[in-house]
Amino acid sequence: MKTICKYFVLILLMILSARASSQDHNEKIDSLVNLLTKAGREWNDYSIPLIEIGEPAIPALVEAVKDRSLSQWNRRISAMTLNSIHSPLWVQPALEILFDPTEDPVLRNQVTAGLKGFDLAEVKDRLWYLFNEESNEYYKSNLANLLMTADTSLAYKAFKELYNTCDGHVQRGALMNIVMIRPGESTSWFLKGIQLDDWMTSNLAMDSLVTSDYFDADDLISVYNERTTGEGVKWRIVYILGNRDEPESIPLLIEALQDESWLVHTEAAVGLCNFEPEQVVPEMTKLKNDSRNYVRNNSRWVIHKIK
Amino acid sequence: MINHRLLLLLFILLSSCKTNINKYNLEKIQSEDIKIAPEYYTGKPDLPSPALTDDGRELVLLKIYNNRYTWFDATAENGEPFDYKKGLYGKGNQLMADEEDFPFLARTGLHSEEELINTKIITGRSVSQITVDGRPWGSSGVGFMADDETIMSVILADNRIVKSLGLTHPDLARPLFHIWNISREFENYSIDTTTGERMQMEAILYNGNEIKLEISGSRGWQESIFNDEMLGSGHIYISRELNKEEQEFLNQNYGNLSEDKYEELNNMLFDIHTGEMVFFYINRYGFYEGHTEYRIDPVAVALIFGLRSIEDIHNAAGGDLYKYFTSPFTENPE
Repeated sequence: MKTICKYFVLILLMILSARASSQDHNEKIDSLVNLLTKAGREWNDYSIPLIEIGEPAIPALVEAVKDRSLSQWNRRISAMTLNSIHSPLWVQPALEILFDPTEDPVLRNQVTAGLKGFDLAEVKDRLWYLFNEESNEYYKSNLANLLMTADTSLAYKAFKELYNTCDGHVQRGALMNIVMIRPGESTSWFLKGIQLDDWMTSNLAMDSLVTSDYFDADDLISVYNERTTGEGVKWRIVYILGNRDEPESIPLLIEALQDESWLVHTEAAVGLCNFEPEQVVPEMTKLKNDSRNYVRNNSRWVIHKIK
Repeated sequence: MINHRLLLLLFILLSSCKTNINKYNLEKIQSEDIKIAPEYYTGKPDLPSPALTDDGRELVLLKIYNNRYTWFDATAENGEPFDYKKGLYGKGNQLMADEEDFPFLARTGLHSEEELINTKIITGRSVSQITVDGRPWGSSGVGFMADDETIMSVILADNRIVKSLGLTHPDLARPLFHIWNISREFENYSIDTTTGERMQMEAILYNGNEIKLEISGSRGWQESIFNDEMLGSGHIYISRELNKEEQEFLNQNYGNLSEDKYEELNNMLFDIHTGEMVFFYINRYGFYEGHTEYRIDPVAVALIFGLRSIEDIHNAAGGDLYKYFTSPFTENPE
């Protein structure tokens, strides 16, 4: 009997202790969230501990995000904290904000970061509708990323539109995602990519073709030989062929060495040095006495470098 | 006869040993009795600036508020790493030349044109790729060179003008590193120990000129077009007023220019807007940027810092400074 009583008291004490600890914990969360809702530049001082607490902090943070009496700044930093916790508990409240047309547009865009990676198949139509309604390219890009885990065919359509209408980071990101969704189409997309004016995207395409497993030198050679192909695209093709181990591209590189464009013939000289001497030196020797100064110099340089 | 010649030779040698000018063309001053920041002089001291101390430190005289002057240790040297991304703010390798790609430059301070003809790769990147990345709307919107320039055409042209000025690339990089080192460190030494006030720098005295310096930051940083550790983050404005002789020279030789072009020439001669990466590029590669808004023109550096007179630079530029400043560099070494 005494033993039973002892155990009963012990269990009671443990329960009370746990409740007290939980109460302390909740008070800590409330205190941090309260500070966050008033914070300025120092907001990370409160956000970081909340992120460390994780899911137990979510209800209080969601309440803060939804509180329209707070400033937009404080609602946004609350959303950013929730995004960083990245819990499934945030998905439903985030979607409510995302699809609410009366909400702050910046906040709507912000919550997309917290939805990444979660299965959003149930809201794919609403996401697609929103993508088509919006005009801000970065917001659209974020929505397209959400479509990746909602419906990949819709995501493909979305990224294709972004690729065709945007430039810079958005276009580059679109290309990366298109190729991720449809790897079998990668060569044709990268081939298109190297012909774009946008430096970022055409660089990505160029670097990808250098390392791609799906590669056919003939595709590049065809584009190189088109009458309308400009210096920049020719240079990229020469760069790709010069950095891949494809002996069938040597004839084109030798031809490029004689191109009038400084970009093209200089890159060809560098690229030819990546092949075996016996594949390259005989042809270079023939060019050593060419009438054109740059051809003579470059062929001699290749011979000197490659031996 | 032979003894007289030997005596003459000995005399010449001894005379040259007495000179105060050393290989950096800096005058030597005695280290004792000089007031280095935060100490200061009231009134301008009659001392050369920049100057070299006995222990090899390069000092520059600064004009600070209330007619006060102070020396600052602005030595251009290789120091602790400088890397914005890693949060490292040392001096970096200020004196380093790219010896692997440009051995002649590393040895002599100037490029050899034969070496440039045979340069197809710099820091492991093809010069074509550097050019594509460095043109406008490549790795930066403004670019490191104009659309019709290449990395090699710019290096070639600037090497020629520096050579015709009778200078080397390190000669031109040194004053730039002096002001860079001053701008970065002055804050640490600028508290008046008597009053506790912060001293404001009004001008940098350099070879008899008063140079103004303004630095502002930018968001983020700019990546280098070379495969090196360089990053750029600041906007640096260097300028000075022209003196009476310079004004007269310009009126005499460029008075026929339209008002707009005359003012443009004035700005190109006496105002530099650049970023800190270019200081390192000058020593490493002999690259001053092409015709972009961040170009540090060697002619402007030589004039602003008093390394050469306006007549010298006018002659080095073929007698037409306006044409020199506004013509892109399109000749490649090949």
